Order: sequence, then C-alpha cells, then structure tokens
Amino acid sequence: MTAKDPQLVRWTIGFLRWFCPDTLVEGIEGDLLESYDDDRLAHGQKIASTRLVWNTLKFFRLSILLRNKKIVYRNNHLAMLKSYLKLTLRNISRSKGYSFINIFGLSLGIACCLLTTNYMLFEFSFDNYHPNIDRTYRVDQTLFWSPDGGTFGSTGPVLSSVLANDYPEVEEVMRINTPGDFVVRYTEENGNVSAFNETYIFAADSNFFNFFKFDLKEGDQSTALKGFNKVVISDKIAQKLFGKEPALGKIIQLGNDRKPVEITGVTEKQPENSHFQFNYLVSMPTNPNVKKFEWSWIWTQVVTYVRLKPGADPQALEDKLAKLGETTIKPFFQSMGMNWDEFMRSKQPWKFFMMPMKDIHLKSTDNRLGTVGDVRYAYAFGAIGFFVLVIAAINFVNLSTARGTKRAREVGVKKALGALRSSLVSQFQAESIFLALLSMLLAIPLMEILRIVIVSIMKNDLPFSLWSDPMFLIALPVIAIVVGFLAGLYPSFYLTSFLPVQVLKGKVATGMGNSVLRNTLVVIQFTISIAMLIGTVIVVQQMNFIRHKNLGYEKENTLVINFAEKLGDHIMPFRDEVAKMPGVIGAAVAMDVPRGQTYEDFYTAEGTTIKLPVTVVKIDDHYFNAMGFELIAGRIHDTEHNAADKDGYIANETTVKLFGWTPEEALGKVIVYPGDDFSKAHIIGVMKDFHFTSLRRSINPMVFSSTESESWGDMRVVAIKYKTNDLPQLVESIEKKWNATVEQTPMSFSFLEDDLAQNYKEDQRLGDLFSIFAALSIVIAMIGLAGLVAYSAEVRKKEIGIRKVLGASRGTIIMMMNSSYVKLIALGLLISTPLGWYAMDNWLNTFEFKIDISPMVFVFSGLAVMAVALLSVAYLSMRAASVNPASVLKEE
Amino acid sequence: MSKDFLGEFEELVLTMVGILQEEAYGNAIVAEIKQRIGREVNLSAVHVTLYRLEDKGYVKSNMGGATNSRGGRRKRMFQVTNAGIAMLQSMKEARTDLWKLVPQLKIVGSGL
Repeated sequence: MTAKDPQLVRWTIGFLRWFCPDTLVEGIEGDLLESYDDDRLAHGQKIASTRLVWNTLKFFRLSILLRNKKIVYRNNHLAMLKSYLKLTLRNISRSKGYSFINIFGLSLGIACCLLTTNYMLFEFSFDNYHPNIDRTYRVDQTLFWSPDGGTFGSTGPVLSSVLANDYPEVEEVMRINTPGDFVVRYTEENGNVSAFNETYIFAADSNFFNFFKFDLKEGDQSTALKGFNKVVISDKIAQKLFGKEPALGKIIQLGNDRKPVEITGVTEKQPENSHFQFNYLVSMPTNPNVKKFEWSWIWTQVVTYVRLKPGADPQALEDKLAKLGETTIKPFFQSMGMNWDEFMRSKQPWKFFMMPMKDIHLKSTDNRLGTVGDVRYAYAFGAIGFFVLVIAAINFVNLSTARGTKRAREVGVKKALGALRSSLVSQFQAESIFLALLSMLLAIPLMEILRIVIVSIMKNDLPFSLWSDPMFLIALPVIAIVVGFLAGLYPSFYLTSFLPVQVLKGKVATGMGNSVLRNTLVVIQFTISIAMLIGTVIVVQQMNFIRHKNLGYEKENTLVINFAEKLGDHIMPFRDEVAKMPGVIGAAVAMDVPRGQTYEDFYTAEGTTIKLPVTVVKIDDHYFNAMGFELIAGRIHDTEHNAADKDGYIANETTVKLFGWTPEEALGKVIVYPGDDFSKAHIIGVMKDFHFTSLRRSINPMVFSSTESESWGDMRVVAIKYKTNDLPQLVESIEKKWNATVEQTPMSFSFLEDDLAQNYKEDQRLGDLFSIFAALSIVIAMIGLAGLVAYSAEVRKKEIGIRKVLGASRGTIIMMMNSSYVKLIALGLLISTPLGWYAMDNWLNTFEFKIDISPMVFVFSGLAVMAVALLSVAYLSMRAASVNPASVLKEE
Repeated sequence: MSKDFLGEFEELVLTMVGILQEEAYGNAIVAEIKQRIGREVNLSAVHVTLYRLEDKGYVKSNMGGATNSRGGRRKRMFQVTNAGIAMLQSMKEARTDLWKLVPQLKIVGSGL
C-alpha cells in the first residue's frame, strides 16, 4: 500500500486492523492487498476497490473476531462486553414497552435520515463520472434577450470555433444543438411503417463522447457521430423500434421531410444522474440549420461545452472573453446591418461565464437539454432527515434518563460492590450503542418501505440505490455507533452519578436539573415538528393558490393537439370539423397555448424609441374567445370579414403601459419589428394581462398576431374547449379525424392543466416530501411523549392516589398530567413561529405571485400538534387518573 | 472422536496445502482451487478454514520472508503436519473401502 492509494483502501485496511487479531492481521492483510493489486491490473481501480471492501467485510465474521479473545481476554474486555450484552438484553425484556419505543422510534428516525441522505447524495452525484469533469465547463452568457439580465446556458454556434482557435488554454470544445421534436418513422422489411412523436432529440459534435460518459452497447464512440445523417439512439428507443434485433446500421426517417438517417450507436441504459438524457443524438451536420447559422452569435440554439487544459484558470478565461463583445460581436452586428449600441442599450454587458459541468444540475438556473435541480432543496431534504433523526435521538435520551430511577438501584449495588464509575459509563454506553445498532438493522427494511410509500405518493421515482456504494455499507454501522454514543452520552453520565448510599436507602434522585434538560429536549422536538408542519401547510397553500389562481383565461377543459403543423394545409378544415363535433364548445388554431414557453423578440413602436422584448403568438379568429381571454379596449381579429386584420395585434396591458399609452390611446398605434418589413402591425385590441409563463415570473409584454400574417411563426396547436361526459369518446373521434387527414403520423395531445402543472413539479415534490416527513416527525415525537407520560404516571402513582383520596376528581388529575407538556408544546410553537416564517418567506419569494403567510397557519399548526399530543396520551392519562387509590397506597 | 472428522471444504483446503507444499498461503490456495477444480471460493473462507485446521493440529503455520509486493506484508505459510497427513490418508482409505461396498454402478442412460 502506498500513499497514492485511495482513501477507501486505507480506511478498509484500517478497519481490518481494528477488528482482526494481531497475530493474524499481517497474513490476511497481505493476501487482501495482493489480490487487490491483481484486480487492479486486471479490472481497473473501481472494481478492485469494491472487491477489496467486500473481501474485507467477509473477514468480519465470528470465527475471526472470536480469535481476538486469546489476547483480549486477559484484560477482561471481551468478557465485560459479553456481560454488557447480556444486561442489555435483560433490560430490553424487562421493560418491553420502553424498549420498543426506544428502538422503533430511533429506527424510524434513522430510516428517514438514510432516505434523505441518499437523496441528497444522489443530487450531488450528478455528472461526477464524466471524464475530466473538473476541467469541463458549460459556457453560459448574459441573457441578452431580456432587459432583466441574468445568464443562460445557450450560445450561438460560432462561439465554439472562436474558443478553439483563439484561446490556447482551451483543450477541446463541443456543442449540442436542440433541433426540436420530430416524428420518427421506421419501415420494416415487410413494408409496415411505425411512426412515433419523439422528444429529447439532440444534435452533437462528433467528439461528444470525449465529454460525456454514455457507454455504447452497439457502435463505436469515435466514429458514431462523424458525417451526415448518423444517429445514436438510447437503449429504450432501440427496444421500442426494433425489439431485440440489433439496431446498428438500420435506417430510420426523421421529421416531416422523412430524412433517412443511419443508426450508428445504441447507448447502454443512460445514467439517471446526468443533467440530460437523450432519445436520439444525431450528428451535427444532420441538422442543416447549424451550418446555416454557423457564424451567428444570436442564434442561441446550441449549448457549448469546453474543456480547459490542466492548470488553466477559468476566471482568467472569463475575463478575456468579456472583451469579445466589443472586439468580435460588435463587428458581427455591423455586418448584419444591426446596431450594436441600440441592441445593448439598457442591458447588462455581454459576458461569458464558465459554469463547471458538475454544478449544472444543482447550481445553474438553466439547462437547455433537461431539467435542473435546486441546491437549496437538496440541503432542505438533508436537513429534514437530520431533524427527524434528532427528534428520535431525543426520545432515546429522554427515556433513558427518565427511567434512571429504575436503574438507580442497579448502579447503587454495583458501586457498593466496587465498580468504577468508568466501567459503569462504558456499560451504559455499550447498551446505548447496542440499541442503536439494533435500530439500524430495523431501519433498513423500514427505509425501503418508506421509499415505496414515497415513490407511490409522489408518482416519481427516487432513483438511487443504497447498495451500489460500498462506502455506504461501511458508513451504516459507523453512523449507528456515533448516534448510539452521542445519545448515550448524557444518560450514562447522569445514571452513574447516583450516590450509592442514597439510592440504596431508597431516596431516588429526581433532581430538577435533570427535568430541565428533559424539558428542553422536548421543546426542541416540538419546535422541529411544528416548524415542519408550518412548512407543509404553507407549501400546500401556495400549491393550491397556483392551482386555483385565475390565470386570466379558462385553463379548465382544454384539450391541446400538439404538433398540429403536421396537418399542413388541412389544419383549418380539421379545426372546423372538430368544432362541429358533439361535446366541443370551441376549437381554435394557434402557435401555442400559454404553458410556459415564451417567444420573445425585440419590438418598437412608431413614434417612440422604446424597445421591448415582446412575446408574439399567432392565433386564429376563434382562439381569443374560446380560451376566455378578456378584452378591455378595441376588438379581436376578424380576418374572415376584414382582411386588413391580418396585420392587427391584440396587445396586453403591460405592453401598452410600457410603451406609455392608455388602452384607448393604444388602438391604431403601429408596432414594428426592426428585423423585417412583414411585422409592421397596428393594435386593434387591448386585452387584460394574463399569465402566460410560470407564476414565478412577472407578466411581460405579449401580443397576439393573426394566423393570416406573413410574419414568423407556424401553427403548432389546436386548442379544443370541451364540455362532455365522455371524454375518451371525444378524444377517439378527434383522433379518427386526425388519422384520416394525415398518414403515418401519430396524434399527440395533452391537457392544458397537466401542462401547467409541469411547471411546478419540483415544488409539488417538495410539498409531498414535506408532508410525509412532517407527519413522521410528529409520529416520532408523539411516541416519545407517550413514553414520558407513561413513565411519569408510574412515578407519580402514589401522588395521584393521595390526591384522589383527598378529593381530586379525574378531570383535575388529567389536567395535571397534561398541563406540563402543553406548556412545552406552546413554547415550541413560540420558537418555531419565527423560524418557520423566515424559511418559508424565503421560499415564497421565489414566486412572483404568492400567498401571504397568515398568522392562522401558526395557530393551526400549534393547535394541531397539541391535539395530536392530547389524543396520543389520552389513554395513558385516563388510566393514570382512574387508578384506585387503595391499590397504589397499600404498598408502603 | 468428533474432532477427527473433517468437513468437505476442510478436506479440500488441507489437500491443497499438501499439493502446494512450500507455496501454501491464502491467495495461492484460492487460485489453486479455482485452477484445479474450477470452484470460486472466498479468501476469508479459506483463511478461516486454515485457522480451524491449525486449531485441530492438521496444519502448522509460520510467517514467510518479507517481499516487495503485497505492500511489504509477509505471507503466512502453511504446512501439513504428520497428523494432517494421517488424517488425509485415513479419509481416503475410508472412502475407498466404502466405494468397494457399492455394487457395480452405472450411470443410467449411458448406453452399454
């Protein structure tokens, strides 16, 4: 073993030395290292390390461990350990109820913690397996499309060649382009054509595989993406198109022009923890647009990845790239006949940023190729798991100290017989660690159950597996030992502090100091569970708010036919046919429905120098009314009767306001697109603002133009408003109509409400997880509380008996039993209110449109926890209060 | 005596120690078993068995000289003791005797 061996190997060997008898260790260690070296040569570092860990773990068995005794027995350690074990088991069986609460509560806590830790590890593992990941960056740039600034992860195609040619610190550059979604067709030998609407189709430079570790099941990484009309497909697509047949060399047809493309590779199952997965990856020249815009800085449809030479400073490169705007992009604008200064006015300076590839998933806000996570959510889940574990550990501490009186006599006798305090401490520590290990064993199946529950509730996979990582197997017992040790720390010192004379006389120390600590811990527990409940309530309220917020139009009962451009010229007749179907209220054709996409470009108006990024969406005459938008001035398009309306705009309030007009003034004003002459149009109507993107964003300028206009934009959707009891029947007849219109093209449809919900998937997930873990934390806290109440009922048995004899009613006794912890819960509520408010206010601030946090949330959370607490100890306090005084007082 | 009984795996390992002579240590035995009879065995199983055989007195062990490979760790070399040889022999004889008592067996379906 040398210094350059990985940490894992050293830890493993350290572990071996720890448990293995000294006489045997050298021979075993040598054999293990020898086969590790052999494995490393034959199978590589990773497999060798895994095998080493496994092989070492297999030595961790009784027939090796027991050989320790020959040496250790002299010190009596093993014998003591054995006796501790026996005592622990006796204690467990003597008070089964408490032990169950202790072990089950702790294992529930550990299970939650394992689950969230696992989730967190998964989130942090994104992209960490790609080659030379520490030198690989995605090039982000200033979001020059928006006056608000910010950055985004797409660039023009030209950047890659500039980087490769002019900057010596750049080792390699690679681009991925998103040509959009296509219909993919495959013609079998017998002439059958199967066709699919496919998504996640990307185009990549031929050195794609130098950057990304996507292993190929079929095909050669070095040549798969070279040349025209090549495609690498995913294992799932290969299975769908060809079943078990080999896919390599087969020809499929892409898109409406049915471009034949050869399959040159099939990936293995693509890793879940990658910032994108693809279904189809075509070679870059297969998308002719990239060639067409090769020189462009503003055709921002590629993602540029760059690998720097070892030792190169990304910050220095960023500084150099900041000058590109003036030196290179400005001349580009001039050559295009565009005014650079005009374009950049009132915007952030055009800069480039090196986004480390491993941070894309958690730390960037934009990912053209897939989704991004949020580092705050990853930490939030980790923190939740940790807090649940804290609650469980507090149960453990509280119950152990509370039960101290029971153990006091044992401690007294042992001390009287000459036991050292240190050996008593180690007895209690051993007991606590042993219980923690037991809980850990129980926690593993619990965690799997929990995971199944969570997966089924969230309808969303938690894509990770504990068992794939040997580190985790080592970590498990270590975590248990640490938790057991920490949780046992206070009880063991407290319990061993009893003075033998006093405890043997029968005076049990139930000191105040002890109950102060216990009460503090209970307050912490309730602070955490109430805070989590507050979080849950607020997330749920916000999600409800989003779901039911009036978006400014009617999103309900809207069926959207996607890819409607495939109908070609038949699109209008198709719309009219569908509109006549029973159950259909209205059908309309448009570029898109408002579900998050924006199509911004810069517009100005005659008679003003103001330039605005405006989203322009083309709609037909029916769309406005069918979707229930609200008009506040002017009229809507009526191209059937008034041909001039084809150059008419319906602008939203924000547009009109930003141009400095009132709605009435705005009518007849001319809006101009500086790029071409087609897009000169006058405002015929002004509509009320509505939300056409996520509620996280403010409402920006947008206008509706007419389908009849010559300007850019094709008709991509047919929106259908329905009112029917038999939706499947309606969908079927629409589909029949579709199939009669276009051949070999599957219809793709969705419901507007579902599409909108997609925008808030992560938040929905946060809400679901929050509620599950909040519920669990409350359950665990309740288990602990029940234990404490049961215990105090027992200790105060005689007191209660005497009170009853003196005339106390059952009611007063129950009040007495409950009042103590009701105060603690109230205190917990008091502390958790500012904490919960602060955290949730932060979260809500990520939304532009949000609920106000109502004080009722806190009142409700406090009362709910209180009610659950009262209920869960109701039986116990009833029983304590209804005890017959005679039976408890006769004993003395 | 029950101590005089060897399990199947114990016997296998003991035999291998006999075969390997001067070169009998954990990894070599694993490799030899794999090579001779194609059976994958775990290193820890072999070690544990060797120690058990040592307890029973059928093998003895000592540490070999230091080497540059295996991170400088010495090998624990095993030799069969006289008791071990006697044990192997008696087991083999017992088995041969038993085999002789079995009537002429034929594998069903193997033809003539």
